[in-house]
Amino acid sequence: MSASSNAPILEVRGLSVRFPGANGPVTVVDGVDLTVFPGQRFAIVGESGSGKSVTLLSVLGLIDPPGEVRADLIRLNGHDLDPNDNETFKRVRGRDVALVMQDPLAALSPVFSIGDQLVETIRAHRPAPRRAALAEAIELLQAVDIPDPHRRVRDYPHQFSGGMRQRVAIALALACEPPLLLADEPTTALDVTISAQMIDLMRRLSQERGMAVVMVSHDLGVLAGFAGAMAVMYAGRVVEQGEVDRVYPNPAHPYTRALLASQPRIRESQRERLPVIPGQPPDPARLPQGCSFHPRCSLSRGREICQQDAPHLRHVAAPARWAACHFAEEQLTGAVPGPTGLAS
Amino acid sequence: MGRYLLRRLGAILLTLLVVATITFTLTVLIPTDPARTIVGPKGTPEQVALVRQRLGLDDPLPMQYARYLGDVTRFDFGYSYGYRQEVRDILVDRLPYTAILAAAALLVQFGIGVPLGLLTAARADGVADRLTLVWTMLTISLPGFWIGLVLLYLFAFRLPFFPLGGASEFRSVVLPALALGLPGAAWYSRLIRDTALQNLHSEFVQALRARGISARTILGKHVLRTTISPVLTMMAIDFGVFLGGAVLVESVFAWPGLGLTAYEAMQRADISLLMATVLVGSLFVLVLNLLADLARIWIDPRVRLV
Repeated sequence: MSASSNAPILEVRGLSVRFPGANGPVTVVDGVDLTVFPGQRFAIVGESGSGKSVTLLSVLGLIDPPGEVRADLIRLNGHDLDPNDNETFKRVRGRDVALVMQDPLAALSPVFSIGDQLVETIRAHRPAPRRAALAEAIELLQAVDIPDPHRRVRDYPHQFSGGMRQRVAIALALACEPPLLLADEPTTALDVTISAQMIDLMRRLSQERGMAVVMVSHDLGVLAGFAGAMAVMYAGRVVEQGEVDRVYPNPAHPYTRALLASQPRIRESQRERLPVIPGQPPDPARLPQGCSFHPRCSLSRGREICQQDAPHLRHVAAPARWAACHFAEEQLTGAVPGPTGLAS
Repeated sequence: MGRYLLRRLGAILLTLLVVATITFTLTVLIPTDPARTIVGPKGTPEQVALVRQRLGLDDPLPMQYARYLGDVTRFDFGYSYGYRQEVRDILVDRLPYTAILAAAALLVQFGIGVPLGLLTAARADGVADRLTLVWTMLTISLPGFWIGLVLLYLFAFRLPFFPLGGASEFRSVVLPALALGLPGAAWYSRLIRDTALQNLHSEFVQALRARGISARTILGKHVLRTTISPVLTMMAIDFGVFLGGAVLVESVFAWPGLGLTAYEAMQRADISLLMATVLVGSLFVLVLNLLADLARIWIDPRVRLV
């Protein structure tokens, strides 16, 4: 799936984001690397507060002061972006990269018709007569399966249902045919059937247009059929990265394992209780010493290294699997106490 | 939409009827006898009785009321004994001045208030924002006529850029328009700043930025449009109030509009003229209120459903 021969469409090295807190700056994203290839569908998974959405917004240069973004490298479709220079992002936004957000109603300008908004976006990036842009707008609505686009192009966001609105938001993102689409929990605000349709639509658009998609979600079920590769984030860091087909059946990080085990599955509905990850996601202002997952991890029980040294993301298995766990190999071979790696 | 308009127009007529009734009641309750005012202190009781009879003041009240309403619907507001002129003619004379002043004051409100509001929102907590806050507090807490007096002192007396009063030349309108419009400009700039600031941090602005829409377009188009509709409504109501005559400001600047007319009518107990200015003022407020609501529907499509 990964077109590794090409140059990456998105390359991020050493991304860190800090926000001022009551007791000094709080690091929300800490040294994240990302590599996404053209046409690739990539998933970022994690609980709320793991820094996944902030990572996406940083790539767009949309973290406003007092938030502080640092990176050794953000290269997007050949453009080097400087987190301290907003001007560099202005060239790529909408043109090289687009964003789909969680709540489509909140994300659409409420007082302009969707036709106006599509035309505005198209004409913000290239000179086009209004009529031509409007025709394009109708085509875009058609591309995202909005019925009767000739009529609906005149409607306002509040006149659409939730699912249709997200389609409109996707159409807006596609307006300038960006080679990369960032989707920030695009299905969370939608109900299950609509959410599945949306995933199908985005996969189809990605395939048809050769567009890379980075989708952030906490719903592993949604991502399973969508993405080829995935990164798991915990407390602002990537803790595991690899191909979805290989990570799901055999996670290398105990957090990934726990996350997978806590997903409800139809077949296992008779089981009395869904396993939960014990404890709370850590407060980014007070990360534990050592591995930030160790207080919730059964693998780390009694192991001093977990409480002392924060593990780095390292290559743990062929062909392309990285994990930030001192005992990833143990996890992979299955020599773990208990079936899920959870503390009982 | 048609039904909505009909309902609104009906409400306006009803309100005007109430206003007319109140003004009529006041004339009955006021201890001044208009006949005595007309005849003067030296007139004999016989003369007073004669005038009372001619004005129909001895008729039963319901009859007077009906006659008054009938006259008003034909825009016949009676005769002003203070000016020795038909009230309608006085109003027709004075209205253009008030209209010019009202329009100029509205221009001050809008032309200063809206850009300043957007600017201070874009640079919130900057120097301009802080200065504006002080200025806003001052203008809001000070009455317009006082601002008028200060303006007169500074820019007509100390630095004679503008005439001291009256409406003799084009420049004459500047100071009264500022006195009338500046408090509103300050107030609305604050209102727009706060609403725009909320909007600037909303998701749709983030989405617009992510799409590569320029900051200027976001502020001047999207944020402005979501911010301005309540302000427009209030400005329209202000315009109605201005049109009804700004009594204090017009008096300070000797601006020969409806406000000064009302002031003079009060001083001279010129009842028919006073009633007419009140009625005309109410009419303007009501009509402009309706126009403001229609404008809101046009600006914000979400209102259309309500």
